[in-house]
Amino acid sequence: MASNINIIDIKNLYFSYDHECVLENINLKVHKGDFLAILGPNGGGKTTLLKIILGLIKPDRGKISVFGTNPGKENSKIGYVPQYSYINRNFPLSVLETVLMGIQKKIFFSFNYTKDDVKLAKDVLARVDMQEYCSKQIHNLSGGQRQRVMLARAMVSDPELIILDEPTSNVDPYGTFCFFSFLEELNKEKTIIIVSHNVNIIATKVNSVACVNKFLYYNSEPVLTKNMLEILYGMHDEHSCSLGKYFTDDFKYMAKSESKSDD
Amino acid sequence: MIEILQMGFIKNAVVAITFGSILCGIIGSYVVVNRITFLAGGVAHASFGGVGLAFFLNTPVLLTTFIFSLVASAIIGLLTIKDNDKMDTVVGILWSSGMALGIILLDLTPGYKGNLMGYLFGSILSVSNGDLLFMAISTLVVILSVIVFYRNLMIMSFDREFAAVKGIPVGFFHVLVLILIGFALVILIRVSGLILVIALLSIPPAISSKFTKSFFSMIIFSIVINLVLGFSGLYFSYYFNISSGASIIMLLSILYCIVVLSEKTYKYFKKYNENSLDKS
Repeated sequence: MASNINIIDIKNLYFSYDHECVLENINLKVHKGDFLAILGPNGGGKTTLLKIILGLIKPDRGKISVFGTNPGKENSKIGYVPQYSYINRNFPLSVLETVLMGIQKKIFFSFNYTKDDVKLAKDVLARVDMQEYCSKQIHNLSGGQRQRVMLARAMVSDPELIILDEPTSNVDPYGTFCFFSFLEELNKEKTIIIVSHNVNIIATKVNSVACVNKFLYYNSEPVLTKNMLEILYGMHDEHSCSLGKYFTDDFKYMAKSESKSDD
Repeated sequence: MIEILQMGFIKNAVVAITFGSILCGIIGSYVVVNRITFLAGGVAHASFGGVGLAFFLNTPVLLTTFIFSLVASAIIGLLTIKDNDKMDTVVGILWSSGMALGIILLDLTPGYKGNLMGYLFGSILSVSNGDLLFMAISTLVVILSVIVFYRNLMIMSFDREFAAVKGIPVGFFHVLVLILIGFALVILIRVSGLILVIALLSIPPAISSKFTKSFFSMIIFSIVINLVLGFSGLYFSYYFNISSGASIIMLLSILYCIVVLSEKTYKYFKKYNENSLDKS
């Protein structure tokens, strides 16, 4: 399945917010046809990495190419499913209109949708089995239904790569199962990247996994390595995991503070 | 009723309310949906600096305030592009420093200051023909920009992240919306005054958002509510001899309360009925 064409190629990438290093020496290749899971704890830099790939922020150092060019240039080839928490829940919008948003349009005078646009949107909604909800309000759907609509919005522009950010955080277990079996189907024609803090998704049909927590470890098989487990479950270095080391660190600290108070 | 309309200043007031209703419906819907009422309030209050400047330099008040509010809205827009934690502080500072600047400039201006209360609380009966032309132009500008950018503004309001990925210049549109608020202000200074503007911008869309299903219908309903209550408010103000801006806003507030209360009652009885059905 995986061929040698690199859709994303990241080499020695660094990024920091206010001098605090968030991503350090990241190397990652995504091939055409991959189904990659990017895992990592909250605050580990997953979303930052995603924003760099989408061209929303620039890395400090390192090389990154997306579809062979700078990130952000070829975003029409990327279907993006953002976290639901980013979405404005005040905005009145029907399911059909939500999907129509995904159709690539020019910036000016794009007031109306053509009949073809509407037909295309309805076809995509039918693929995710949501066609009977066309006129429903997006905010009245269940978490799983909403996620399917958001996926339809990403699919409507027929992208080569689909990126999903925490797609199942508001979805019940059965809905999650359905969602992933659909993604598995979709993976036959599209490259998919899923970003999640939920380790369970490696039990699905992902074919490679990357763990991000400041550093990135990559495995071309859907199995977590020892390195990955270490960065997933907190920043426990080997020495700090041992109880004795914790104590000695404490004593050192106490000794320091005592010597300070002596001054 | 007919004889009221034959008076010239009432005619101008009616036209001004029509323009104001259209503008408030459009801009207000953006403001309410994007939850930037506070930013809009900041722009409106900071514009009082423009009133002070006009008196100080002895220039036309509406035009000077207009330019000043455009600058103020652009500054507030640029400072709030990134939705950071300090945003409300920055807006709060600009809000009050604009007003302070206006007051200082007025203090420094010798002589008679005219009807200052009119700029703060509206004086719709003093709309001149020149004002009307100005209002017509700003209404046209707002309508045109919304038609040109409707889809982008919609995507951006719903989902900024997605809009940015789609290559929509999110920062530009954020500033644009605030500048359009600046345009709307010029008209609304006459209708409701700088201080009461927020009510006109936020109440009608808040009411229509209760029962509309799309953004477009939200705009249309807001315009209709504005028109109906604007004219009734004007009539009340004439009949009881009270300020027009205040009477329009009181009507809007009462309507809002009625809508919210009936919504709550409806929900309560619906739940009650469901519960009693379950029991039987």
